[in-house]
Parts: sequence; C-alpha cells; structure tokens
Amino acid sequence: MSDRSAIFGAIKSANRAPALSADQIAEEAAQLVAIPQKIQPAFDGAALLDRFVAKATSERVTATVDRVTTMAEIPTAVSCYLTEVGQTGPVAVQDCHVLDHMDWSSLNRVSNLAEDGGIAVTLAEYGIAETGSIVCRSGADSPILLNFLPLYHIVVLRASTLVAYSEDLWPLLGGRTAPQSRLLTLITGTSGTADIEARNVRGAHGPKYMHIVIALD
Amino acid sequence: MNSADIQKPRVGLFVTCLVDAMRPNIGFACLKLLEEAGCEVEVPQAQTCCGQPAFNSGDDATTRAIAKQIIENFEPYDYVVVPSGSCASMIRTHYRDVFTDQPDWIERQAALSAKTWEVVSFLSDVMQYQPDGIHYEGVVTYHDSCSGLRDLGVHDQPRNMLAGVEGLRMTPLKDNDACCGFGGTFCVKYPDISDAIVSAKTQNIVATGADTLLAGDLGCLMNMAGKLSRDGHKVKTYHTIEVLAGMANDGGICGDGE
Amino acid sequence: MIQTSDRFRDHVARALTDNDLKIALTRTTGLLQSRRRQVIDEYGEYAEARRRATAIKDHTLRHLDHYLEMFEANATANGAIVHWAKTPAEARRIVSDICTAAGAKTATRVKSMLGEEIGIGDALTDAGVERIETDLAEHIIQLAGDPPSHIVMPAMHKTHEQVASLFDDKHTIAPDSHDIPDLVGSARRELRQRFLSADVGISGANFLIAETGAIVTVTNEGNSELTCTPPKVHIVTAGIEKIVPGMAHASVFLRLLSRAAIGAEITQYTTFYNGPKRPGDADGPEAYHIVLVDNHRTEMLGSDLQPMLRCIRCGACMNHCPVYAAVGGHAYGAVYPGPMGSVLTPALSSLEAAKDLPNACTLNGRCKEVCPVNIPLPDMLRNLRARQWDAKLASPLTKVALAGWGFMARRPKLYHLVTGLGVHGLRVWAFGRNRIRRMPFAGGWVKHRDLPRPEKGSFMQQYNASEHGIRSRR
Repeated sequence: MSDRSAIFGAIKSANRAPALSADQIAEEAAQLVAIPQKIQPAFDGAALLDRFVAKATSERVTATVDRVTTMAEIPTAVSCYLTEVGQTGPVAVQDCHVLDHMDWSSLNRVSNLAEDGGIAVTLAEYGIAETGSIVCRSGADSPILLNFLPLYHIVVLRASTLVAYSEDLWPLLGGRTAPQSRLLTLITGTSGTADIEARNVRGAHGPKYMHIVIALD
Repeated sequence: MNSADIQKPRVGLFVTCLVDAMRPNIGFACLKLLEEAGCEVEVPQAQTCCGQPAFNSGDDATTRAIAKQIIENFEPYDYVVVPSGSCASMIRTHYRDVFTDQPDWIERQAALSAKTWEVVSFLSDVMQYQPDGIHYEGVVTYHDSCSGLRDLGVHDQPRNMLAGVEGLRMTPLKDNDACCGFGGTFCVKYPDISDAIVSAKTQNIVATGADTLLAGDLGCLMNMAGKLSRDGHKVKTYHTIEVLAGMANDGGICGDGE
Repeated sequence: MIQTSDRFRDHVARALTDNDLKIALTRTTGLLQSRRRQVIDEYGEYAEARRRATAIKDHTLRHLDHYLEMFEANATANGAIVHWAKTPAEARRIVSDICTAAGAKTATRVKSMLGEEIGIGDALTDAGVERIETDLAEHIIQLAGDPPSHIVMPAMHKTHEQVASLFDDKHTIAPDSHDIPDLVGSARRELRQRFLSADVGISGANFLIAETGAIVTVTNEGNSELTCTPPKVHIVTAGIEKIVPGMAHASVFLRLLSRAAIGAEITQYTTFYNGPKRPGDADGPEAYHIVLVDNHRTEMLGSDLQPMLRCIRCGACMNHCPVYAAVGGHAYGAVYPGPMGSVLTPALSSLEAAKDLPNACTLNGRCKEVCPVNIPLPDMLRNLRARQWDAKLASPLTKVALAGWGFMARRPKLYHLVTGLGVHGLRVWAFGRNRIRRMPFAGGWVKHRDLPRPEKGSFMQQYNASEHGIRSRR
C-alpha cells in the first residue's frame, strides 16, 4: 500500500462523521469567513493612503515614504532620496513596462544588482493599507530577488493600487482557475530578526532600508 | 419562624484539606462572613478532600470515589462554598471529566458543580455582601491564584471587597497573574523547578515594598509564605477572607506569631 | 534529533545551574510576553479572529481528506510534484532521492520544525549534501551543534555574548563588534554567497492553501525567498495538518500568527509559493517538490488529542509557561518543547518515552489562555497523566501515596482522626517555633521553603468543639 493510500485510509477511519458533499463543505467553509469586517482592524475613518503611510512608517515596519503627484516625478524622487542617505552607487531598476517609461538618466542605472550592498528600484503591484505592506509577484519582467538582495530597496507604488485588506487582494489575482505566478509576496518593511535575545535588528538577509515612493495619480 | 429565615440560603462549607490541617482560621473566617452575609451555614462532617491530588496524578477512579462522597454530602445545600479557587474549580469545572461515562451520576454531579463557589466571589457576586467596619492597617499586594482566575474568573471581587477595608492600601504586584509554582503535587514532584518559579514570584513581592501578601488559595499562600520566610523577608501572608473577616492578627502564615 | 525526554530530570538539574541560560531566558521571555500583550490589546477583533481560527481548523480537520485531495490536485496543476510520507523515514528517503537525482552538493534551509521532526539533517547527510541553515537562529545552533530550544526562536538559550564568541570562532570574517546588529551583519556576510550558489533550497510551510495549491512561509529575515529562489530545486516539507481551505481563511491565521508569536501585526515576508519557475520567469527553481508528512497526525485525528492538530506553531504557550521560563527548551529533550511539546511528544513517540513531560506542569492555564486556536493544553496534559496512570507508568511512590490518601479520604472519621494526630505531631515537631525548617518525608517542600506551624487542632476538631459545632449536632 502506498503511503498516500495509508494516509487517506487512516483519515477516513478516524473521521467517522458522515461525509458531506463538496458543495456542503464549501458552503461551511464560506460561512467561516463571512463578514470579514468582524476580524479586520478598523481604520477609524482614515483614508487608505493615510493608513498605509502610517503603518509603513511605524516603528514596527520602519519604511520611509515619499509622495509624488505623477509617475514622471518618480526618478527625481528616487535621486533625492539616494542623495539624502549618501548613496551614490549603481542602481538596478526593475526592467518592466511601467518603470521603463520613466527617465532614469539622473541615476547610474545598471542591469545587474550586486550580490550585496546594492540599491534596487522595484514596482509594487499592489499595496495593503491594513499593514503598510507592498505586494510583488515573480514574472518575466520581475526578478523577485531584486526585492531581497539589495541593501537599499526603493519601491514604486501607485496609490490607485492600494487595497484595504489582504482579503481584498485575493480576488484581484484572477481566482482559482487563473494561472498563478510562481511567487507572490507581501513585504512589510525592512528585513529583520529578533533571534538574539529577542532584540529587534533591521537588515538580516534582506534589505536594511526601504523607501516607498507613492505616485498619487 | 419569620419569612427571613425561610429565605436564608443554606450553605455547605467545604473547608478543604489544607485549611483543615494547616490553617483552620480561614475556615472560621468563612463561617463568620457567610453568616454575617445572611447565610445559614453548616459544616458537613463527611468532608475530607476534593480529589485534586488524585485527579492531577491521573487517577480518575480514586477521584471519582472522592467526588461521589462530596456529591452525596453536599447536594442537600443551596450552595457549596470553598475558600480555595483550585478546590472550587475542581468541583465546579473538573468533576464532569471523571463522570462523562457515568449516566447514573452525571446529573447529580452537574447539579452540585453548578452550585459550588469560591468564597470571595460567592460573597461578592451571589450575596452582594461587603463587610462593614473592618480595619486592616497595611500595604497589601495581591496574587491571583491560577484556577480561581482562569477557571472561575475571580479577579475584581477580592480587589473590590478589599477596597472597603479601612486602613488597607493596595499596591499592584508585577506579573500578578503568573503562577507561583505550587501546582499541587508539582511542588513536591519537581521541587527545584518549583523553587525557581516561586523565587521569581517572591522577588516581585518584595519589590512592591508591601508588608502584606494576600491570595485566595492556601496552597499558593503556603508556597509563597514559606519561601519568603526561608529567605528572611518580613511580609505577612494571609488568605483574603481572613482580612475581610477582621481575623488577620496572628502574624500570618509562617509569620512571627501574635 | 535524538529524543531524550526520559532524561528530563537530568536535563533540568543542569539547566537550573546554567547561569548563561538563566540570563538568556530572563532577557527574552518578558519581552516576548509584553510585545504580544501590546499588539493583542490593540487588535479589537482578536476574540472573534480567535473564534474563527479555531472553527476553521476544526472544520478542516473534519474534512481533512477532502482538502488534502484538493491541495494535491491544485498544486500538481501548478507544476508541483506532490509526495506523501507516512513516516519520518519515508520523508527522509524522498528528500534524499530528490537531492541525489539533482546531483546536489549543497542545500540551503529555511527553518522548519517539521524538518527537525523528520530528521532532515540525516537525509541530507545520507545524500552527501552539505546543509546550510540560513535562519539566523538556526545558523547559530548549527555552528554550536545544538538542537533548537524554541519553535520560533531556536537559539533562545544563547546569550549574545555566547553568540559573539561563536561567530568569532567560526565565521570566515569575524564580526565587526560584539553588538547584536554587528553579529547579525556578520551572519549576513557569511551566508550571502551560500544562498546564491546552493543546488537545492528546502523550506517548510506555515500553511497549505487547498483552494489554490499554494504553500505559505511567514518569516522576517528574507532567507525564505533567498533559499527558495536561486537553487534549481525547491523542496517543501510540511505536516498534513497545515492545510486551510482558501486564501480568505489564510488571512485569518496570518493576523493571529505574527501577533501571537512575535507581537507584530504581520511579519516582514508573507510569501506564497505556487509552483516552479514559469516559462519566461526571470528567476526561480526549475523543479518544485512538496512532501506531505503524516507522522502520527492521523492517529491524533478523532482522538482526544485532535485539538493539538489546530496548532499553528506560534510559540506563545512556551513564552508564557513558568516551567519553560525556568528550565528552557532543551530540558524537554524533544523536537517540540514547552506546553505544546509536552502534548505532542507522547503522540509522536510514546507515553513512556515522554515520561515527565505531561507531569512537569503546574496546570496554571496561561498556555491555553494565550493560544490563538484555543487548544486546551492543561486538560490534554492531565488526560495524558490519566493514560499514563492506566498504563501503570506512574512512579511507585506516587501510587502508594495516592492509594493511602485515597483510602483515608473516603473514610472521613479515620481521616479526621489521622489529620488531628498529624497536626498535633507537626506542632510538637515545631518545638514551639512558628516555622518548620526541616521535616522527614517532606524533603521536597522544606528543601526550599519553610512550613508553617499548624494551629492547636484541625479545623474539624476545633469546629466540633465550638459552640457552632455543638449546636449543629443537636
């Protein structure tokens, strides 16, 4: 007998309650997450953008945030940030449709990110206001490691892509039958660890600095 | 006989094995306050132990035998009142675990469990009683015994009742809801771990600067008082009910005497 | 990891005299408790979330086969190769074979307690693969040769001074200083190249999503994504009880897990892995395997241990356990320590091997209080004691003492007589002093504490002689 049949056999004999139909099970499962408002932290009247910024810049998340009106202003905003933090090195900008339409000539743009210590600019597909998280997916135009290897991670986020809660994100991904990217990640601030004496330290293996430039248009 | 006598709740006082042997004063304090609160109190002779030592060691058969004795002797009363959160909880929340497959007894057990109360919460929640004219001069810190707190929700009642005692000032205990390390048989089966736990507790107690420690369980009280005493700390330790009854004047558990 | 729970008492004796351990535990447990307290207080919907999470787990367990089938179908459609292992040995064989087939020489690993459970280190050794732990705490204990001492913070038993000394000794380039941030920086430097050149990346899964076939890792450091992206092969090992129905259900648990475990609303990286590299992807592994492990979980199903299968491995129970805080995780001698470990270990091995674990508990109940899925840990531990009793595993001393106690407790008149005598005897023994410092047969008590001198007679004696007592007998 294969391990698979042994496992399923053991489950069937343990669960002696009468089996429900798949529809009944699905119905029960749906009931269990109905009215998600009941477990979603309230925003107390704050707008999505304000909530997002408040959380992203909070002590538990430690990102910095900048706002620009149009997408065209983004490269300048990135330049300013890098000057502020004294970073003059090469910058890897994600090679994707949205970011390619911008003028990056003010930066020393490279196509390959260094193994460590580097700077990368990536595009967040979505943002989640509840927690100040950005959402990225792997793809042909999205080497996901660009979000994890740099020391300085600069994120471009369009305010129009903000959702309130993770529950609002799932339907946007195409549903059960749509092809899924290999990886989808919710990134909330800079990498960190509390593995030594429960002391919170930023910049474990992932980025130590996260700067989010939000385009309001 | 007037109508007030007919309405007096009949209470069976179950003093617990520890109170019986080590500190009868707690039992007498209960008696005094329960009567002052308007109860008719009896002390059934056939009382020994609630069965916790057996239950916590996994001996369900002995637990059940002891529990049957409690049920038989206490079921005639309107209420069963106990000066211990852990013993009251044993009867109130855990007896059902050893009667699950005893169809003849399960109803009787459920009925008894439903009317069993820890003494301070009984006086406060059922009798709505606040003793009058009680005086205790001292700075008190309070430890929340685990069963009373988590199984029975005893938290506000002792604090509210102590607030009515003249001369008594409360000061909060850091980690007041952390276990003291008694755990019934635990403290004698694993004495060194118990010591580490009670040491953390007594450190917190001493740090409050209080001259008095109160709690609602004699096991916890003996454990903490015994450690305070061994380490040479002068903190008077009483059961809450002793202070509320105005009967806290012998220096306390492991104290210096009158 | 070789289980040594039967030597609990020896481990405890050592732990209680280990000063470094005491410092480490003191520095951490209080912080973890207060961080959790704060974030839970801020989450007004906590009680409802907890209720839903408990209900979702119970529902899923009731239909476990249905959901596992759904998961397998969806994961396979996404390009995963799904394997089933009834036992740790089978799981090790599967992992070993995958590594051998891939010609792997090195494997990076993201922390996974299930990996510990199945002895994945041995699987890699058998396949001639060098194992590189990437989670900071796992890296520390790999260098130190220690087993994990906590399920979320495996190096909780180490002070930062001990870590500094370890890194000075073992890192290619010594840390810039002994400050904690520089120690972290040193580990980053040490492991960076290993991430990028590994042949295989191995992770666990915090959740399995039946509806989409995805696995989820909930981490903070970035090591999950750095482990699961560069290598040619990504292997996931997960217990079958990790499954939840859908994404919306995962949202419920994600809110609870990070709050309960580390006092954060969400961890830095909540990552869903759906399959191998898609055609055209800029990065990612070519092969993606999921190994689903039973290891006694199907035995717990339908038994009084079933609630244990709700566990989301947050570690809150051990963070709030006074016994854990006193002795640390290694004392338990098992993969899983603390309250949840004391319930799981007998289930994963035997009642006999687990011996002291269900008994070294004060039954104070804080674990149950902080558990995000309401596992009745103290009740389950007590039930395990009842099983040990029925299996005649209780110590002879306990059996004799309880037999005597039970005999007397059922005979009130005899009981009162003996108690009265005992009380009198104790008073005599006290020699007129208020405290008793020494007592034969009470070594466990008087070793560390005084005993009070009893009053002049038991309550029943005094009561029966009192006016009230005399009146009541008329």
